[in-house]
Amino acid sequence: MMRVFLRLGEGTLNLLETIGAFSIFSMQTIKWIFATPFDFRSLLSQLNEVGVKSIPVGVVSSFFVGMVMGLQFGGPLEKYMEGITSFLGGGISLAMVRELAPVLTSILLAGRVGSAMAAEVGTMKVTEQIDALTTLATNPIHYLSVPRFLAAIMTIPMVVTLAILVGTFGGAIISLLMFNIPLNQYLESAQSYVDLTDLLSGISKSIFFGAEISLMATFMGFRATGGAKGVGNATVSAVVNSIMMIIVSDYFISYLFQLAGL
Amino acid sequence: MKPMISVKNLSKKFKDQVVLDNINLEINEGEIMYVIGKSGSGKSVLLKNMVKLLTPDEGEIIIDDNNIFSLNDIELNEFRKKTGVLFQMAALFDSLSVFENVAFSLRRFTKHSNSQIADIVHEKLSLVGLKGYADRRPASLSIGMQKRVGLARAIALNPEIIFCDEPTTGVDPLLGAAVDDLIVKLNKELSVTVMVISHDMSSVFRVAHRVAMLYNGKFEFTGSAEELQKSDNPVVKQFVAGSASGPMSII
Repeated sequence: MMRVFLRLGEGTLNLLETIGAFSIFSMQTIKWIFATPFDFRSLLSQLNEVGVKSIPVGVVSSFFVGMVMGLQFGGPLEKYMEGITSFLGGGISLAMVRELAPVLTSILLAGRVGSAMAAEVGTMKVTEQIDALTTLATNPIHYLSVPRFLAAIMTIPMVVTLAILVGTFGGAIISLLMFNIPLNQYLESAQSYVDLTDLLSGISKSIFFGAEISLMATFMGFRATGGAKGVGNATVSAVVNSIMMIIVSDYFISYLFQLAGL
Repeated sequence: MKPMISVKNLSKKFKDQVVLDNINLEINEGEIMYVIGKSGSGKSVLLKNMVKLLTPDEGEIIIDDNNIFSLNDIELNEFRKKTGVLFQMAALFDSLSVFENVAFSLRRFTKHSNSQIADIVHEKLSLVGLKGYADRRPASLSIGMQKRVGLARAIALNPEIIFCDEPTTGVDPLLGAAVDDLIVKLNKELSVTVMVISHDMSSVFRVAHRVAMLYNGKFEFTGSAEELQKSDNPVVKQFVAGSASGPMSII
């Protein structure tokens, strides 16, 4: 029994220590954004890694999510709510803009981008490359975390915007082919349901999700110890923790946005 | 001679294991000091304290009249620009080419033009015998070559002090001799103070001005390479002879 309490206490202390260390790491990353010399090469490289290379993942998945939404709304729901298919454009686009595109795309990118970042930084940690950076008078957070953080908060909202457009288009195709809803009717419905505040809410959320993915991934990479196994553990933790953070923070961000009228 | 590095009453432990126990050491300006000892004796821990990658539990390290543990971030970075570190496994940035590794500090901390940086990088690569390897990735080089690139990166800013962690371990004897010659050359031509962590005794006798041997967290011996060879201390004798039997346990 005593052992159970000891384990619980140890686990709680570890969790609190990790949350504290992550908060300090996040604040330091933000502080180091403004330090010189700024490494533009590294930022450009990360913009490509995080943004450009994520476009296929974001676009393909959201296209099929839009189509599935079209099938589900149009098929089973039509049986119970006659005429609902005429609202397909509004329903699909509103869901894509406010929740599906930001959350699903961010979860997918937590896997693609978060795992790559954690594995790269973790490998640098266990092979003393981070120590080498320090001895070369270069702060590792400035050199490694800042470009990844900036690239993520800049490009993930762009990928999410593309995902919204493509997802809505996917829904439009199913509406046309399966339920004979003309494109103009679909778009009119979308226009009447979605306004600028919805778009702002969805895209702003993805900025927070981008920050969470990059910070968690680099943080876990920095804490990697013990060779290949340590890097593997850091990568798994980075992905799992990022996805949990996205889902949990989605509720709080949505709540705050609603209070702010978004 | 003026001491360049003074280690004073330094202690470091990890959990309950005491690695360095109240040690003292002085390294003079322009000297090549070898710190020897069996694997796990705390040599690398001492080096990591000297470059402030680790913080000691007690004691201080004075380098060029500054206690490195009292420096603020700006002063510490200035101190780091005056030192070069060669890591045990080279620790090259594997996302960068050999050229970019050596040019790393030059690009960040000097106002040299690209062509000036290229000249310096090629000069340093020639010095370590790797002319023509600038475009290669670290992963495509042998560990010996990686160490030489690491040395070229460490001397890119012409440091006053170089710390080398086992520079000849894992390289063939010819290459080891070449690395030793390079250390001597840097020491003579650039008046660089060098501290080397090693257990390569042939290297010690060829290069070292003075030697200190770590054993059980303390310095068992400090003196010249000749004194080391003639020492009656059974621990030192066993280590120099590379004998499995003696007071020092293998594990």
